[in-house]
Amino acid sequence: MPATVLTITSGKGGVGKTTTTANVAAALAYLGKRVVAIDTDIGLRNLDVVLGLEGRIVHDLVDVVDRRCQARQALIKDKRLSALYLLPASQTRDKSAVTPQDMVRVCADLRPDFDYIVIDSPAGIEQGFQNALAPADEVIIVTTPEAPAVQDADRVIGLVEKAQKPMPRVIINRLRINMVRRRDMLDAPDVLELLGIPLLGIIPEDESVIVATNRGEPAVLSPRSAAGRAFEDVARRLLGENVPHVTRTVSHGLLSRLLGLIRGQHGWRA
Amino acid sequence: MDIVRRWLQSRAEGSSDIAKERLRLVLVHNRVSLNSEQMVALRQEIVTVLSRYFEIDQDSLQLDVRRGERANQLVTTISVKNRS
Repeated sequence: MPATVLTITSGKGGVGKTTTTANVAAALAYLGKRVVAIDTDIGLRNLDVVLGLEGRIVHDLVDVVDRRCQARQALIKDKRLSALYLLPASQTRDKSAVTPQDMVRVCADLRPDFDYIVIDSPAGIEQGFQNALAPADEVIIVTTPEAPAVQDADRVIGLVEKAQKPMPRVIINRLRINMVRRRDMLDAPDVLELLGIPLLGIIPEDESVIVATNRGEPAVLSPRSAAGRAFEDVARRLLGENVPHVTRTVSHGLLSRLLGLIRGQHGWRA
Repeated sequence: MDIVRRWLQSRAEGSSDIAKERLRLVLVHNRVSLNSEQMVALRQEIVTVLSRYFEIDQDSLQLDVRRGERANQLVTTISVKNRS
C-alpha cells in the first residue's frame, strides 16, 4: 500500500515540530513500518542533527527537486533503525527553491516504497509551510500550553481547513504537570476546548529530550524517557491502537532511578 | 476587608485561568476576522435586538466561534433575567 503522508506543523517556532517528527518517525519504524522523514526547513535544517545523521548528508531535498538526483539516492538510512530514512533539507538555499508542486512530486516518487512519509514543516505560514502542507494526507499540529503557541496553532488550523485537508489533530507538547496543578499552566482540556480539534497526544516537559538531542538519539529509543514513551503512544495511535491518554510524570531523583534499574529499564531499545 | 478579599481572590485564580480567558477572546477575534470596531458594533446590535424580546444582562454577552467539521459555529450566550 502506498505511504500515508503526515505533515507536522505548528505556526509557532520552537514548540517541538522537529523533535516530534524525529520521534514519531523513529517510533513508527521501531514498530515495524518503513518510514522516511523529510526536512522542509530549507536554509535552517535541523532534522538531521536531531536524528544524529548529520555528517552523512550527500544530497538533499533541493537536489531532488532540481532533478540532480533521484529521491532514493538522497535518502540517508538511520544508524539504528533499518526501516527509517531521512531526506534532509538544503542548508544553502532558501524556501523559494521548492514549490508545493515539487513536494507533491517528491512524495509521489517515494510513496510506493514506504508506509509513512513524515514531513517536518518549518515555522511560519509562508512558502515553507505551504510546501510541507501540499502533499499531506494528515496534518498534525504541535503546540505547547502557552498563549502564543495556541494562538498560532489556531491560525494554522484555519489554513489547513482552507487547504481542504482533513481535520488536523493536536499534540500538546512540553506540558508541566506541576504548573498545571498550581493553575499556572493551561491543561490539556483547556487547550482542546480552545482549539476545537481532536487530541493525538500529550508529551511532558522532559530533560531527557535535550539529552537525546545532544546524543543524536531520538528519545523514543530510551526506555526511561517519559517523553519518549509519550511519542511512542502517538505512533501507536496513528497505527490505530486505542492508547488511553495519560499525563505522564517525569521521574527524578535517586529512588526512581534505582527503581528503574531494578525493573531493567536501562540502555537501548534496538 | 476588600483588600484581603481581593488578595485571596488573586491567589485562588491561577494565571492559567487568566490565560484561557484572554485566549478565548483572542481566538474569537481571529476567527471572525472582524476588527475591534465591528466587534463592538456587532455586540451592541445583538444586545439591542434581544432586548426587544427579553430582559437581558448586557454584560453577560459572550461570543464564541467553535470549530466544526464543515463549518464554524458562532455561538452567542447571554443571561436572561427570570420574570418573577
